[in-house]
Amino acid sequence: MRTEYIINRLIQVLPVMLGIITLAFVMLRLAPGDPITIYMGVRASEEDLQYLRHLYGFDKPIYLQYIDYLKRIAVGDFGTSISYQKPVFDIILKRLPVTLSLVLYSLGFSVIVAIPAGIYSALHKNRISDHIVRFISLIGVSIPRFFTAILLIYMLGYYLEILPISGYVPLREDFVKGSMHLILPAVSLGGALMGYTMRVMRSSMLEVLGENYIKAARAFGLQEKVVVWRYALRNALLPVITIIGLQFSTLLGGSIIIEEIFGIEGIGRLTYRALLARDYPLIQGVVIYYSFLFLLSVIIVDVLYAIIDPRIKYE
Amino acid sequence: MTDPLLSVENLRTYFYTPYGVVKAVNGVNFELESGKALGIIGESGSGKTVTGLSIMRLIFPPGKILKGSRIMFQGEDLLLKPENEMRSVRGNRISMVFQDPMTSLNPVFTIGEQLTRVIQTHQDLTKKEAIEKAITLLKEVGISDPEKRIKNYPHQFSGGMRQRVLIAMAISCHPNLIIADEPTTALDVTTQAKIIELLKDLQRKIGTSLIFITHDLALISEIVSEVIVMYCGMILERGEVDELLSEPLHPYTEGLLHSLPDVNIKGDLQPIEGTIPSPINPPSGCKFHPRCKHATVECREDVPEFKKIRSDRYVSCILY
Repeated sequence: MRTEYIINRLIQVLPVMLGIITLAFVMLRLAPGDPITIYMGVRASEEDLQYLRHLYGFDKPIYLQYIDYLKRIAVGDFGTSISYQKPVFDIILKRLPVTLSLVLYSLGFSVIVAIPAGIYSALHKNRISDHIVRFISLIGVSIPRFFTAILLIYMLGYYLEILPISGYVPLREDFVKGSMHLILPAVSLGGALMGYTMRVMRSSMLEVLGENYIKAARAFGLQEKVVVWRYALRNALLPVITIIGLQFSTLLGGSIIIEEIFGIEGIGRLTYRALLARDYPLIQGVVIYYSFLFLLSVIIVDVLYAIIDPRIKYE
Repeated sequence: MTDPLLSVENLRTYFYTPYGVVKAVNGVNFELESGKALGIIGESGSGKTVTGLSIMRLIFPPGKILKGSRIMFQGEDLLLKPENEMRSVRGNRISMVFQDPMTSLNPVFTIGEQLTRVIQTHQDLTKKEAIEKAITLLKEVGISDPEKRIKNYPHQFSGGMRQRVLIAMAISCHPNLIIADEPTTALDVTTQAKIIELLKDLQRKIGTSLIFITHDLALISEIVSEVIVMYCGMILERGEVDELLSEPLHPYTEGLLHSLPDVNIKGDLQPIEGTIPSPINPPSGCKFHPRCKHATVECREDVPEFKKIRSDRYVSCILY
């Protein structure tokens, strides 16, 4: 029944994907500017431009371009990047592990710090330690990523010289060195998510601790650690998972600027360049990639929800 | 006479709120003998639930049980016990049945998981033995097909069924005392009767004592032999149940009885005039005097003595 539910959710995703693919196509065609002119420069001859337009299919009517585009995507061909002169799919695939490791490190950092801190804060409500935790989470939420990044680079990278401030080492080649390179970008990227998660965890835990079933559990003599870590936590995690799922997209978006700051050759940086170059096929590919990851995170949240809360029906 | 099972002496539980001190329970005394059932009646806010929770020592800040209070249970003062010993009393020697069965079970664990957890907390049983015991208990409280139901989650049970599960949890360790805090308030009338019947049967069968907290005067004579009437954290009257209901002494008890709807008699209800006083600024003297038609100057000044009228009959009113 659970696998059926997951398959169902995946099928529901298909029309959404089609919508996104279409939107990516339409939006770029609406934007002013011609990729061929940008690529060739202003001094290119009219014949050359015509030839290239014909080569990339830009001279066809827009609905034909759209049909061609759908046909190609159906077989996994996302076109050829104009600026890189390579298949879009290959370019994205090559950089996927880079961005994925950054995003996952960042997610891991926020969750591992925020959940215990939120619980701790809830259990010490209105004490000094609670105020400190809440202050930290407020900082996390309110300081923009690029500023956190600059602060961290200055303090830990430049001043104390403990962590590298730029570059990327694949984790598969050297796990320790790769991780060191990821710490600063991951923390800058995940600060906001950490702050949100902490606050939601705290308030959700406090709410659950006031529930009748918690009072009842205490009245039945259950040990406090069972009451908090089993009876309360499992219920309190539900809203936290929702927030993490929704905030996942901000990690993806934030990776654009973070990769630029830390000189990481991931998809974020690729997106930035593709936008500047009006590299239509590449932008389309990147948009589809982002949407796919986001939809995937939504599905993961749904499945986690169903695992934690038995009241959610699988039908 | 043997020592009573439970003896509450000068119990005072105050809540220190930002708006002032709420004296939820203010000098309550009563005893309960082994195997007997005692009812506590009163309106909302009269301190009856807090009395129950104080016996369980489940009062959390800003609430506090004041020094000088004593809760003697099986010869020990529960208020002097360290928290970990108190935990082995809860659910084991004293257990509680709550008001709202819909929210008193954890929604994300099965009935079986919750029941066996309580059993295994207090008894040295293996998982398998605990499950067997849980099945027996569910059968005992009248849940059909317990082998299957044990794998169900609370939302798959009706309110009445959930209360049965909670009662099964409460009796799982054969407690000496069960505190039932308005166990039927959230249920419909036919279910109420069944739950009362079940509690009565179980009480007789396992020989436990019972404190039955309610505001429902119609129910109380079904299950208890003695009744305490509470108002503003104090006891106004105490007596044998039928006697107290047929011949109330305190004007408040009388008022409560008059405000009870009776299907046989047509006519308007006679509610008690006025409302429950503010818990932060309770009236001086007899707490009931602002609403009492017999009130005199004397009532405003002094709290009347809790007098013995005849054997097992006490009242706190200047009329007697």
